[in-house]
Order: sequence, then structure tokens, then C-alpha cells
Amino acid sequence: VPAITHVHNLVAPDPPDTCELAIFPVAAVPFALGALEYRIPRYVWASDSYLRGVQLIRSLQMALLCGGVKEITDRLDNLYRLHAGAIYGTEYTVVSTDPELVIEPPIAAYHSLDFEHENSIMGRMEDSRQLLQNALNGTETPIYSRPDGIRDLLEQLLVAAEAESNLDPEMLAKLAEIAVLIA
Amino acid sequence: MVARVIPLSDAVITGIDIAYRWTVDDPGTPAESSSIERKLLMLMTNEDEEINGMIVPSPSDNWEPTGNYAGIRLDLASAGALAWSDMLLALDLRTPDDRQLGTVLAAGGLAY
Repeated sequence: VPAITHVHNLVAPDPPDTCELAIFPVAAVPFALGALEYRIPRYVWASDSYLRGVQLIRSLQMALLCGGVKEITDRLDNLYRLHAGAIYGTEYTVVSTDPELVIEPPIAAYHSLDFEHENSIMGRMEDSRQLLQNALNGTETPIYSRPDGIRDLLEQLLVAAEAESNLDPEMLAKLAEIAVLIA
Repeated sequence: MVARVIPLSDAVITGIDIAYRWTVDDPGTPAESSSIERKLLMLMTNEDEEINGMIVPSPSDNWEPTGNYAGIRLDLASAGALAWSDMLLALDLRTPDDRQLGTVLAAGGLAY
């Protein structure tokens, strides 16, 4: 089998460098770093390719050490948890950090529309919805149970006002206009 | 030495490489875990955005203690790494072809 460890006079490809993300077992990194060191000596490269060639090798070593996909997916998970926490109020707990970070609950394939905390965006929207229903219509909701809504109160006000003979017609018209607007 | 060589040569001297060799008289006994088969590769970036490397044989335990790279990647917050980073800023270290070695210790890892 031809050996490739003692190559010399390699010509480094010209830029631009296209890049790819790669998934690799971290356990292989020390072996890869060591193997790539064989491409560092000056004799490996043609004289005018030395700097460029070594920089290509060093950048690959750097990429192996700086990780890639795992950090990106971890950050995507963090972003998911940030959204789930803000939108639905899902509360996450760090269960362990060694040997690896474990956070519960795990990220599911999808999230139901049910929210888990009233201070979440969905929780506050539901609160607003119930408040409007109760305030406008007097609808009894789990949170709000005032019997008369604004519409009811306005109607009562209009009926009472119409019964009064000496009420300003202009004020009466404005009251009627408001009642129509929120109907 | 250069002055003595010049009369013997038609060549024009363009530079001098000085190799300083030092031998420890009493090197002591390495730790049981010591192994020169294992090496620490440190990658440094310089002001020209080049990456340069340096090998340290038989590295001591300055690895990241947790995570995917535990025991493989140099912990840049370790005392050894921080001291190296400080030195990079304090000294103008050069590569054999006279480029700046680096000002930032960007990464380090175990190499076999």
C-alpha cells in the first residue's frame, strides 16, 4: 500500500475556500490533529505553497477543536427553550451538567397550544381575552366574573336616560353612538 | 562567527538562525501519567489572521473538565492557558520564517 505520510512539494489549492459543516466523533479529534501535523513541515509543500497550505491545515485543526454542529444544535435548543418559555411558559430545569448538560423536560417534536404559565405570552393573551369577554359582554370566565359588561351597563344607562325627559339630546346621541361602536 | 565565514565564501548572508540548546542537569522524575506520545497542540492567531501552532509534549491536565470535548480540548480558562495567553501579549514571539507567532491563544487540543 503506498504511504502518504512523507509527501512533499504539495501545491495548495487557490482560494476561495468553500466550507462545509461536518459531524464527527470528538474521540477522533486527537488522532486527526496528530495526523494533520504531518502536513505542517515546510518540505511537505512546494515553496510557494507553504504558507497557504499550512494555513489550510491549521484552519482544519481549528475547526476540529472549535466544534461546529453540536454547538449550533445546542444553541438551536437554547433558542427553542427561550421561545417555549416566553410563548407557553414552559419551565426548564438543569438536571445535570456532568458529563453533559441535561435539561428537562426534553424538547418534544411539537408543542401543544396549551400554555403552562399565566405570565407567558399565550397566558397573558388568554387573560386579555377573558378580560375583554367579561368586560364587554359580562361573560363569566375562569378569571373574571363581573356580572355586567360595558354593553349591558351602557344599555341600562341608555334606557335610564331615555326615561328621563329633561336629558340633553346631544348627550343621549353620544351615548347611543358609543353603544353602537362597541356592539 | 559570521565575520570569519565571510572570507571563506562568495555567498551573501541574508540572515542568521541561532539554535539555543539547553540540557537540564538534574531533570527529576516525571509523573506516572507522563507520556511524550501525548501532545498538546496549541493554535494561536496573529494580527495577520494567520493561525500558527505549537506542540507541547506530555501535557498536564489543563483540559476542559466537562462537555463533549472533556479531556480533549484545552481549557482556555485554565491557569496554564491563561499564563500562555499573557505571555503571547508580552513577548513578540516569531515563527522560524519570521512571522508573528500569535497574540491570541485561540484553541488547544490533545494530539496523538
